[in-house]
Amino acid sequence: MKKTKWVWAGMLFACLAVCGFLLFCFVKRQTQDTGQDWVRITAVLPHKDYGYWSIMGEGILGGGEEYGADVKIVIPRMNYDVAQMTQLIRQETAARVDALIVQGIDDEDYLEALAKAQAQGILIVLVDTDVEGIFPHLYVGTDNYAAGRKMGEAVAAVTGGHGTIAVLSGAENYPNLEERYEGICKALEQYPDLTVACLEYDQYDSLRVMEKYHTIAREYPEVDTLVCIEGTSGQTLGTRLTGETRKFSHILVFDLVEETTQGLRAGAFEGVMEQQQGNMGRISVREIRRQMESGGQWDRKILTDVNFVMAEDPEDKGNG
Amino acid sequence: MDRERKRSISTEYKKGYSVILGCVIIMFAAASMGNWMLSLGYGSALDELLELNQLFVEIETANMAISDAYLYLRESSMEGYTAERENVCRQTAVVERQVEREYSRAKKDLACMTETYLEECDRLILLLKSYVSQENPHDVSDKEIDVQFRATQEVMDYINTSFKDIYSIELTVSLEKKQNMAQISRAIGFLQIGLLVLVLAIYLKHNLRIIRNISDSLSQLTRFVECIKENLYHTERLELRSHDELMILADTMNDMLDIIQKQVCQLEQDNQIRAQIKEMEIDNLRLKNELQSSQMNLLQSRINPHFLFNTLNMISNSAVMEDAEQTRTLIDITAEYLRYNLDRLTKTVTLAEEIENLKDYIYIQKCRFEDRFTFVFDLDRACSAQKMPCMILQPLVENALKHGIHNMLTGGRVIIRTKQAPTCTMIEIEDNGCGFQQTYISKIRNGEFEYEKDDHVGLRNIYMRLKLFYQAQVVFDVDSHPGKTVLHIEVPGQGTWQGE
Repeated sequence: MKKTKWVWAGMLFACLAVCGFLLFCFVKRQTQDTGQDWVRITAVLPHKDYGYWSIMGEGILGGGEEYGADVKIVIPRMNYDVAQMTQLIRQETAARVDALIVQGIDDEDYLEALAKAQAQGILIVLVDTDVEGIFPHLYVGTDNYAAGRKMGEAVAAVTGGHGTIAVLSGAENYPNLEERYEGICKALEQYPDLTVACLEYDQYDSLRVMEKYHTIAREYPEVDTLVCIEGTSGQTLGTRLTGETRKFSHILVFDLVEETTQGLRAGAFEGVMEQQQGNMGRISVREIRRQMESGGQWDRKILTDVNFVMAEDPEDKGNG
Repeated sequence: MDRERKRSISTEYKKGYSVILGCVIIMFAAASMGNWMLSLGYGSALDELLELNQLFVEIETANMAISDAYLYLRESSMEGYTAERENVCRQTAVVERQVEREYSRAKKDLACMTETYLEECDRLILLLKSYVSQENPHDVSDKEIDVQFRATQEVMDYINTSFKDIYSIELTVSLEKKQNMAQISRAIGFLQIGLLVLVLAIYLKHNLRIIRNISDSLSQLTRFVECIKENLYHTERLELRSHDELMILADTMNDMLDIIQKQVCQLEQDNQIRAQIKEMEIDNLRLKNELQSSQMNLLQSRINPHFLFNTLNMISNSAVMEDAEQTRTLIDITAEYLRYNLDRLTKTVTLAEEIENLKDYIYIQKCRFEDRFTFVFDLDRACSAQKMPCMILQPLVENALKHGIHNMLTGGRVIIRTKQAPTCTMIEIEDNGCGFQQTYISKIRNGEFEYEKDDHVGLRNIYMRLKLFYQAQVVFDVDSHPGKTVLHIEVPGQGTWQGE
């Protein structure tokens, strides 16, 4: 008689399990989070480079999950197409998002679009690069001048204070790059035997990077140290050079990403300046949430650390 | 008994069928619910797309009115925009409700863009209305209207882009939903198949258990019956645990075996008791026979028959030589009488032989008593071959002579009578003497005289010998009073008279 009871109990349980399973599926489908209280944030990033900005985007998305915000990342079709980025900002303004995360670019239309957005009550966060003297905004990023000084000290360390240096930057008039260059120059003032022979710009393009690399080697034979203060050049050289094929005695680059790590392992570089771009994204989202919940001072700066990674210790380092 | 009935074979089968039925119902319910959910899901996805498309249509219509109003300054178009604006607002609210049900960033952005577009359009309409209605058209500049119109079209471009993105997203989401629904459908199918397999497994196991139980029970029953067939006194009993009809049958068989074994034991005990009684009777008879034989042998041992007959023969020859014929006859008859007594005493004789021997005896007695007594024979030839023990008639006649007519000087008479009846032979010895005492007659009639030791020993011995010889089927009676005494004997069997 007990066995029979167990059989019926099992059948009842199976029946309930089936009904429960189906009901669960149905209810789950019907009662997904409506997101009525969610904060809508859009990040307009300059390009998808599978490096620095991609890590930044991952950090922003991670911050959205961590702090409960609906984050959307939009990217122009062409790298660093400021006009298209401006259009994207206007589009997101028309969509009345709660906050915009963008790179600070000193372009009139770009800044005007941001100002209009800010005027509509949209919070503006500038990452990586700050623009001084504009509407109230939050800057989250590296202290580029300090990072430049740290790079200068690293150059002095690897060259022993003697040598001729070439600097490869991104685009002209980019405030963050200019600050880095100023920081390097300031640090090198203490080393009279270290001189900067030239400053070149690669326009965030790998073909241009390689062209500039060979031009410097050809036109400045006295240069024994190459310093890349923009991420694209580090990424490009990391995959193209090895310890045997490089044309300079010392190469130091910015931004620790997969390609620069590969270059470190292959002996293409002496060291890489690591920024916390992922952390910048997370901090941006966190601050937006905090501002929307409790208000307070918004026009301020949050500076993240930099770290110089040598060839012998890339495995232990991350990008924040 | 109720419990046993619940566990009957038919009930066990019913349980199996109930399991199958229950699971079929479950599977049917699951399939119905699954289909309902799937159709609901597909319907919902399609409705959302249709609602989005309707918003797009409404915005396009409103934008056509705006363009017309801007290009041709038609007031009807401005009014038309106002009407279309309501439609756009209503459809935007529908999309907002979609967002409330299931959050979508793209839809939320679209709804907000629509609101922005309407605001820009409202501003443009105000400018146009001001421009059309003002007396001095230069109060509202053309450039201002152009900028505002471009602003509306810029937002319209964003909306179009957004629609394109949303359609792309929605189609992707619909594809995911379709895949999810297909997964759910597959899951339900697998669940149903799993349930079916499970149910079939349970049902088969259940049926196998029932069949195995029946088979085991029948095997045990068969073995039990074979054991009983070989040995009726099989002590072990059949123990079935199936709790069904076969267990009841086994219990009944056990009870039947108990009853049969008890009855057989009773019969055997009765037979043993009967055999013991018969054996005791046989032993008793054998002892009596042995006793008689020993008594006879003792008597025979006292006489040397050979010596006696030689002597009598010698005397007979002397009587012939002395010419004493009567003496010789007497001696010959005496010798014949003795020879009969000595040779046949332990043997079976016929009634005719007994009569012949009795005649020898009477001859001797006549020689002794001459004519004092007369002996009359009334014989039925039909019973001459009647088998009987030796020395029966002579002692009876001697008894009548000795105790009946011995004291009579004349007129003493003894009648010897035989008669053949259908099933027996009757023998009577009648005398006219003084008769028996009445007390002794009573003893004879009620059987007490069998135990008498002192009086009429000869008569009692004859009776006992007849009883032994004929297995107690003997009638022995005396009818006596002074002047007539009849001793009546009936023995079983019949024969033919062969003597004189």
